[in-house]
Amino acid sequence: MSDTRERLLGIFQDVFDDDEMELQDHFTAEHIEDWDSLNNVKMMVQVEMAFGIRFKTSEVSNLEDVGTLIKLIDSKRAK
Amino acid sequence: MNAAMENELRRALKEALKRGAYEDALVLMRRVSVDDDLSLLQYVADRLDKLPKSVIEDADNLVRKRLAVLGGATTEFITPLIRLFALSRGVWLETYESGYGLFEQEIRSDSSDLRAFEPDVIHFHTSSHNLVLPINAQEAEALGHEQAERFLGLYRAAHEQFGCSLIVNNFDTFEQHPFGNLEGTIPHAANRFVRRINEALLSELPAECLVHDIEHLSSVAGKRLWHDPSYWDSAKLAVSFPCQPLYAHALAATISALFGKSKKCLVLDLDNTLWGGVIGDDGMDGIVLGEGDPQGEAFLRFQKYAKTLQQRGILLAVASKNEMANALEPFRDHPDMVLRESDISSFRANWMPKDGNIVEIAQELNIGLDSLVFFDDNPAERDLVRSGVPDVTVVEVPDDPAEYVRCLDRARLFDTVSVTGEDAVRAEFFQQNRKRERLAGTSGNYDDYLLGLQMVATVAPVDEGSLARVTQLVNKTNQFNLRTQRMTAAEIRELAENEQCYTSTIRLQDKFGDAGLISVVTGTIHDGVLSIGNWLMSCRVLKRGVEVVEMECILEFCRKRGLEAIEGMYLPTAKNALVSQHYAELGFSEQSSAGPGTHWRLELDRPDPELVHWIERRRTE
Repeated sequence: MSDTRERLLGIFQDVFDDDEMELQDHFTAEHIEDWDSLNNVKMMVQVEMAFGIRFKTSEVSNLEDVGTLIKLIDSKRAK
Repeated sequence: MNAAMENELRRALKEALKRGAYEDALVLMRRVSVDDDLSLLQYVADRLDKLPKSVIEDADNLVRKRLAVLGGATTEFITPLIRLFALSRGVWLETYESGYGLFEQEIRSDSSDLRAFEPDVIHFHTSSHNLVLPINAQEAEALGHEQAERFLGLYRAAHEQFGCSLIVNNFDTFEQHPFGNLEGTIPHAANRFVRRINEALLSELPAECLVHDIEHLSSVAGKRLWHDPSYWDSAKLAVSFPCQPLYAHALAATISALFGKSKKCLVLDLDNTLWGGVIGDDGMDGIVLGEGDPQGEAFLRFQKYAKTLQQRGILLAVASKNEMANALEPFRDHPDMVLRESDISSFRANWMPKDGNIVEIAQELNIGLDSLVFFDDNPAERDLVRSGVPDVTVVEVPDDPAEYVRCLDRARLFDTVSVTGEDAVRAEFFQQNRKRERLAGTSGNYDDYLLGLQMVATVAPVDEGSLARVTQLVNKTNQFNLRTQRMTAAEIRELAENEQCYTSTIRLQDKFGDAGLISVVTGTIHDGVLSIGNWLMSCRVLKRGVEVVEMECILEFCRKRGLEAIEGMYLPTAKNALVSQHYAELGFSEQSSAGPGTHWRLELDRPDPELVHWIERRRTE
């Protein structure tokens, strides 16, 4: 699943409209301007579509940080 | 689009926006279709506001309107997609969104923000999530009545307060059915309840309300896909993400119809489009059409669909590479043909390139190229037409004829806001036109020809009976239209009911048939002057003298009211150069004035200008 981070970065760059954006594991909504609940849903839906996975309701609303998200994606892709 | 084309579009758009090539970006944005990948659609929709205002204002064939989306659910995801699909149909929408669940509050509190926004159209983004459902059989009846009244009352209030068009959803039935097979019969079962409310709404909705049929859309998509319980819980999303394009696309079709962007004519190829095989090679016995053959049935179904469109007022035309005699033969003599020669308003069968033929079809029918839809099984012809006449909508026809109907239907190109009596007889009129042309060929001069037509004009003010047709004409007439001032039914009704306003309509008949209601004039009296607001006429009756009859009626009205003068204005658009000298020809003098357009005035302190026409006039009050 080595490409998860790279593809996730592409999604973040598109959703937050910032081609220069970088992703670090400890990033939360605090670190990224515009990461509000609306964009959070938008981003999670893009992730679902891109990786062909589905999040649980609680996973969409209680996301901790970028590192957790990558682990979550990888665990779902492995299934 | 396939995945590679979608990626290319995304890349090209990103690049165009980056280097500030906004006209290019606009062209790219208008290229999306409802079947494209949702992530592409969202990507493009989220970038609409990167286009500077000036680019939107300067764009050809783009009308600008204001849409308010009032939410029974969250509106933030659906609204950009509505804007995107409206844009692809030539309508640029500025939008206003209420927060989730505030759809009633906005109207009931007479929201000053919404008032300041001055919407042209309000959409209530509601669903069955917003209904109160019955708990037991005892309360079902009363609750049904109460819920229907709740929404009807809301729509009536919205209309009274804002006077604009409303697009309201009906309610979508649910996937789950706790009553099992009794879900559709027991009065307090949710699905039965929803259906009853839908019926109650339909029978009592105010005329200004257009219904966005989400019960149908959700069935088309499949209830399991349409409803997403998880995203309802977490984001209050009434329509699942995968179904949002379907919703937004259908709504945009209604919105664009409301603002005069409906398609008027379907241009059809023949060989392998209306029948299987090549008539020139295979002959009448060899082409595949009709019951008993799987392919033949598919072509039959497509013809029936086209015939239904024709019967509701969409013109049909033929553009085919064929000898004329061969092309006509099936229409005249094939027992299984549904479409007959008389159904085709313009018939081109020759060996010239199709883009040229299509331009001629538009000229013959007197309609704009942007109101044509081209349907041809041959990708090379589609490419040619796409590049040769870009204003024409070219349908991406599937390989299998069994899919033709579905493909054309999904494109939602022929939505209209109403079906009027004129729609049903439109094709007949073009048929009669051929007889008129033959008469023209035998008449000595044009006046003899006009006299020979034995025309009768029935003049009447706008009333409830003509309101739908008048609204249709006001919103789709482009060529003979002095100011191209679009109006809603409600606005026109206001004029008709105002003593200080003038409205006039003309129905024209001649010895070959009835053209229906084809001319509209409106005006307002101010300080002893009649100022003409709208003056427009259907292009089917150009150069027949109808405008002269209208002028006579205006003069009579002004004399009766003792007015001093009549004023009119010509506002040029890309399409109405035809009437630039309209007022000059009727004896008006041009006034010097600043700003766009030309201003004209006719003093009434002298005898009326000399007006000549060959139409017998009948007046109803």
